[in-house]
Amino acid sequence: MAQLLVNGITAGVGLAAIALGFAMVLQWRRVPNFAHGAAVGVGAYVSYSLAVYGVPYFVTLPAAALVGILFGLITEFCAIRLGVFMTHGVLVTTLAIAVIARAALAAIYGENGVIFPPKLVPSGHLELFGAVLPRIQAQAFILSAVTILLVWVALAKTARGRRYALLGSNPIAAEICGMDRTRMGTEIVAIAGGLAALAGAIAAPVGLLTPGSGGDALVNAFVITILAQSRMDLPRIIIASLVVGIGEAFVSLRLNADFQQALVYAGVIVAVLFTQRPNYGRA
Amino acid sequence: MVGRERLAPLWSLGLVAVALGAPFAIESSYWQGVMAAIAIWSIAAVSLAQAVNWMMRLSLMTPALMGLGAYAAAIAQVEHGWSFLPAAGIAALAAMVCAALVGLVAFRSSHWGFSIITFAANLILVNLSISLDDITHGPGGYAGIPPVQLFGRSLESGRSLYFLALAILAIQLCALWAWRRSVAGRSARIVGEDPQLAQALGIPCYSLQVCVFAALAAPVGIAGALYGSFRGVVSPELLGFTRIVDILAMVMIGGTKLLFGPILGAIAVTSLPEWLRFLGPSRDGVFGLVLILIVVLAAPRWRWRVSTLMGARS
Repeated sequence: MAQLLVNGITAGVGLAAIALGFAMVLQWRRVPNFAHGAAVGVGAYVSYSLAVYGVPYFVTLPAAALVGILFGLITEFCAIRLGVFMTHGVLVTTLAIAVIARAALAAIYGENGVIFPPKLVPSGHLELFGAVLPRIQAQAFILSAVTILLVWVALAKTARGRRYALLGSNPIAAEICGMDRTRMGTEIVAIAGGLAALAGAIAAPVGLLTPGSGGDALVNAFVITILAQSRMDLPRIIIASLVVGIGEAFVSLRLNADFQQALVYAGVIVAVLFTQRPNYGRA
Repeated sequence: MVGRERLAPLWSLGLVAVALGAPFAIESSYWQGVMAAIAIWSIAAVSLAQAVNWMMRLSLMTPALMGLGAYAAAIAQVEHGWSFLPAAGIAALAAMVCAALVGLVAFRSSHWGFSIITFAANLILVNLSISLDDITHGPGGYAGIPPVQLFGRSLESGRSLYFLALAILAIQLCALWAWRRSVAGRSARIVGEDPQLAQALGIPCYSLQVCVFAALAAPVGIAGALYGSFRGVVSPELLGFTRIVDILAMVMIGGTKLLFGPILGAIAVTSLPEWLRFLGPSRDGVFGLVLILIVVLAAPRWRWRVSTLMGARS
């Protein structure tokens, strides 16, 4: 049980850090950013590239976040603003940005993937309440938790954060209050890109990096955001992430690992049924 | 508007002429194969587009239904020695049953919930196609699927398979055209547009939507059977996330209002990577740029692009 909880919570907090940016853009910018997973992948590869050239790992994190902000700005100007006038246009343009980013990563680093230099990855493991936790996962957990805490402080305790929330809940009121919707929307996408890249850089040393790993991140972010009822509500996102993380750990440890994803997504279907309001009753 | 309606038969005739004549104008067997793939993907894209148009809900499990049909037909042909037609029937049935089961659950949820449930169902089927080694032959895929045999003739060439897929597509379009004009079709439209109004009119919303969703899955299953016979192998890759992206792009580019819109999307999405093959590994990146360009040019009020980019009309 302790092992299950430790695995689930560490995975869940990492997933929450990834999902935050997606939920932010969906709720406040009001578009589904399907390039979000690509930003996660870009951040991971930036961290890897700098680490390979001897830059300390903790310095690669802000660098990855800066590149992520730049990626967010590219997404805003080249995908979201160009796609908003066509039904589902943003869906296609953000997916196109994801395809371009994936192709660029594959061209630079190859399709087979890379792993972090072993000397930069903390070895050994910790014992927590009888459960074993590899040091590298503990590091990722702490960094993800700190990121989430900083985001919470920035959003809940600053005027800027409250303005973003107002823009998301009532854009007309925000405009009447003199807020520049366009500029704030751009800022939101840029911040989300930075957060995604930071989450990618935090997760990068844990396993194999491939150009397609951003796709998995997008799937997880999508599922968590839906479970959180598409709201940029930090507690909801954290709970949804923990549900997914613990669900994955449960299936992996207690049931057949081959069917891990299938059973987790079956659980997601059940959860969605109970969280999403039907459009009509039984006819 | 009247002028447009008068021109519609001319447009349709022109498209039919191009569709029938193109394989004879193109000699390359490679490009004939690409045309067959376009026709097969068109069948799936048209079904998805109509599901979006009628039910106002975005299903994200079309590749899974196609893959399920492909596996069902492959098993029927290879292990039980069935010919293509009954195998395609089994493929359609498998896709319909799967869509009905998922629909029974998904239509109890909201629009977002519907998308995520169908997405999760797609992921479940991907996982099962990898994990159920005994049935699906695992990640390597189910190989050795024979080419289509019809009335004693083997349709091995891309051209013959293209015409078969085109015939199925034509039947599908005719059926959809007739359905749109039927009472049941109009009822389905009302359910999509305004569920409350539909309920007030006594339309059985839930069961009608499940039935429409299942019926639209049948051609997708047949497209899967065709795809399996065309490639000779079915692998979990057919059900994967990339395919979801591809088929969504087909529908978004072609639109959902016109019956033949998704066909144009299928032509763009299937043939563009082939045109860009000379670019090598950077082909996907250029494909992404072209997708953005298509959206920019296809979007209404495109003349506002520059001001939009500058933030004036965001």
